[in-house]
Amino acid sequence: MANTNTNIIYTTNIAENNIGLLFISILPVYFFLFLVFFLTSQRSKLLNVEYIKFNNIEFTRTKLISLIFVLFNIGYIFIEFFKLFPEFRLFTNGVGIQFNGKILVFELIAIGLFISLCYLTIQYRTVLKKEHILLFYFFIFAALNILLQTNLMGIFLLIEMFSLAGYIIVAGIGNKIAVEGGLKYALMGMFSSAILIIALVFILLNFGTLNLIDISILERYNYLDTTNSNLFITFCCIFLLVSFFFKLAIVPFHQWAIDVYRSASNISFIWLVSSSKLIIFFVFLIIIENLFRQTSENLKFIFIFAGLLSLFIGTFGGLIQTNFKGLFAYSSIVTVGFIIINFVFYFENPEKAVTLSFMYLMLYLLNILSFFFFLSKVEQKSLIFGDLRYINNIVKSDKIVGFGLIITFFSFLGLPPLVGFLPKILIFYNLYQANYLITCALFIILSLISAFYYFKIIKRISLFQETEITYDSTFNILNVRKMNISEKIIAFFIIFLNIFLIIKYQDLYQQIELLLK
Amino acid sequence: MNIIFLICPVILLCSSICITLLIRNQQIIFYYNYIITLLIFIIYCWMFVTLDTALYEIQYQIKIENFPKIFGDFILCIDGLSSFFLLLTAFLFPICLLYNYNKISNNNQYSIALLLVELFLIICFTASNFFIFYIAFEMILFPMFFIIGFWGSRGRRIHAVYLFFFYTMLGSFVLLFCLFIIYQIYGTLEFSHFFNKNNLSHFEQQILAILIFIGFSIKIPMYPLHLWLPEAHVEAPTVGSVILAGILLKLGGYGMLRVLLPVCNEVIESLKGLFMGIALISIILGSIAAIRQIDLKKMIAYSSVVHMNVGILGLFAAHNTGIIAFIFLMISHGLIASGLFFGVGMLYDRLHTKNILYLGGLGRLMPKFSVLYFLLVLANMSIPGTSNFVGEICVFFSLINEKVWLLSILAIIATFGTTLFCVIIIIKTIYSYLFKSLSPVYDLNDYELFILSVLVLLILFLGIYPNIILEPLTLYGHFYYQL
Repeated sequence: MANTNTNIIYTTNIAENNIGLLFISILPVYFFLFLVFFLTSQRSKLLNVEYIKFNNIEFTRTKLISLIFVLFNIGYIFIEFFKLFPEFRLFTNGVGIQFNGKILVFELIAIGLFISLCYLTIQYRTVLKKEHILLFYFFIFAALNILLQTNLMGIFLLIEMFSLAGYIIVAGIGNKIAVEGGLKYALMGMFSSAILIIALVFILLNFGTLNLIDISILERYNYLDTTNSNLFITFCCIFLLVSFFFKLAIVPFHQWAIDVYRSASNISFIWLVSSSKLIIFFVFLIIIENLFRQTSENLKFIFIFAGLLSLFIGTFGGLIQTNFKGLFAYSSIVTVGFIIINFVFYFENPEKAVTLSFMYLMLYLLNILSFFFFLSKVEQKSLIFGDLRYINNIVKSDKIVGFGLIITFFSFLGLPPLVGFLPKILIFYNLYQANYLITCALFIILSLISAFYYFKIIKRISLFQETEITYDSTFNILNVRKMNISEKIIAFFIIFLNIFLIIKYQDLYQQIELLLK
Repeated sequence: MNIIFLICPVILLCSSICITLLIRNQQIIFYYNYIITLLIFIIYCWMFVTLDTALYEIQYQIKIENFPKIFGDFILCIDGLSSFFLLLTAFLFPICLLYNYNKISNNNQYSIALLLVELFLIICFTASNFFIFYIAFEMILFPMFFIIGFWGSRGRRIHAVYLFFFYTMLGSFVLLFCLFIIYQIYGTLEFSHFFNKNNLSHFEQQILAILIFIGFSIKIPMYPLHLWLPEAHVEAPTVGSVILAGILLKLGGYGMLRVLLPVCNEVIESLKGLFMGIALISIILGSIAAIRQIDLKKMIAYSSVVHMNVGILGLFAAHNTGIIAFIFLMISHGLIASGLFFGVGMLYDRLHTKNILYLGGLGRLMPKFSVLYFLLVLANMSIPGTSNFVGEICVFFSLINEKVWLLSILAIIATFGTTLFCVIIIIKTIYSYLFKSLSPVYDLNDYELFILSVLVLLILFLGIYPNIILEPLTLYGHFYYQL
């Protein structure tokens, strides 16, 4: 497995890559220019006027649209850069940068996610302050730069920057409960970073370097004393895994997630639940690709244990939620369980494990974004709105919104004509094939139980019946905004994608498998 | 030929779904959909005539490219066994559309849901692969959820939807596990490969057989997993319960014929007692429960439990006539139960009740209805001359041939229960005293008369001349018997 591609392009000569240096350096410069422009342009002497100027919907919308254009531009730069230099490395001795096809895919997916998140933020019509938008800039900047790093120290620093922006986004938008949630998030995030530091110290002790490329070369040519260091690397990896389990909210390190997600405001919830999962999962993939080559196979049992437990707690916790943010907190724990169980195949067949988990996460994100797209059409009373009673009988108010929500939840549930079905089936089948019979059976049973709470929401959307006990006039006056033509097109596109992606599933799977090599 | 019989119906249905989505005018949509479903029926009649009755193998097949090849290719095919069920499906849907015409509850979304059910059923019965069968089997949940949930009559429909959904999901997840096991054994999921010998041990095969049996018995349904059926029938609209009783229950039997008998043929002999015992319990309990009901639809639902389980007795008698009788009973039950549900639906449209305590003396007010309904109930009782009689007699012959005396005697006695509640239905609705509040009731329309008379004539025809179905089936009987 180790010696598949021995002739890697290992560039130390910077002179050859001058144009590449220029292209890469455009990225921070872009951000910097934008920040300067942003901070200086709109100053006004009268405070009241400034307040009006900076705190309305139009202001938020223009800033976010400009952010979308910046993201498009960055994506274009990445593609052009990839055409020039398919394999590129810079400053590989210190805190360096690497760029190749796999990272291009990660970057493009992250950019696509951020564009759709900006679009959703505009759709929600919330009034954001100047500082909030600055935080989003920081968030995106850190997220796009983590994936380029080759050095574990650089990855650590950028993760800190990324999550620092995350803490303030949670605390800053919303009311006092959100501040409490943000504080919890900050404390637990810092704790997990401390564990990551310990892991880095152990890795430095063992390899003498923190550079991922150096580590992989050391392992590939067996410079290390195998019997002793194997155990030690496994020991390091456990610390690393615990830290990442904290950040991805995998059971038994999940307790912070539910409180934080439930207290966060709507906008920050959307940004957190989608992007932090995605980016940290990508970082996890990049790190373990180089580190897991020589670890002991005993790590498998950690994955089985974590996957089963998170599925168990995700299903039974979700049954009693009445707040959809709490519900999606548990649902994301279930998802993460489905993702992490795939890494039991990592030691025999890394491509399969990565592709399966990648597909599952992508399709989950597609569903969750489409849910929030349809929800944005419901008139909100406040920023913290999250009660499930707001979507009672939404089908009767607007047919497209209601049907779109039903399709989305059937897809979460995993009913065949929709995309949620095949990744689940393939994970079950691969577990069965690798002789994890009891795990497979438990997964099937637990996913049946988790179907129950998705079905409860479908019932609430379509067939809810008011009784005297449940009647509450505040939730009963439901206001659904009519859709534009462009929004209708997006809605039909989402429904179409949900039904017909399954036909092209095979091609998609092979494409991703090819890209991730 | 392959394209006409396999692709044409699917494309026609897709076209009518698209037109129903795009056009608002109900008249145009009704005529278009009705003609399309009739065309499909004619296509399948043509297919039935051209089938070679001396072959049990696949006769028409077509491979569809550009589909995910996860557990084998996407191949649609028709053989002798699936042709009967396709014919039944194609026969019932134009009638359902005709029944819905001019009803208040009818709208475009309703027709789309019905057409989707037909599309998925056609895929289900033409599947050559267990995986495609399984996918289509689960896909039917999706339109059925809408049919029961949105167009059901009462508040309890949500409870019914829950039961329907989760019993079926439970069954399909058990089947999923079996699917993995079978794929691991054979390396393929084509139905035609299941007849090869497998290298499982005796114990493993027994467990596999029990799991497959649980998966399919939820659909049939059998005791103790039958509770969803009466609820779903009572709460569904008329057309919904017709589809449920007429075709969806047959999916379980079809799956047993396709998967359970070929894969586990070595251990069926040892597990026969268990399976037949469960079938016998559900016959006895079903007929006792049916007598106590006051809701007409619930009575008929329990009667369909009884009839399907009589068929299951024949299936596991493992005698040549038993298997033939099982298939024949499924088809005749599809006709009779749908006729009875149509009748109850017509009553409900006029009187807005299904409770037999509020009915009575309808023979004076609705003579046409009473005659046809009386014949249908007699057929449900399996009077000689109707199609059910042929099937049940064949089942009992095969049981006696197998020399399971106690079981056959008990089964024969238990089927007397069906006679009892059929008599109750007749007395309480058609005879007895006339309620004054019922006096403004009018008799059947032309098209309602057409629906019931077509069904009754077909049932009588199959009762008098059953060979039209039995003759092509004898081959299957021999084939499964030789296993």
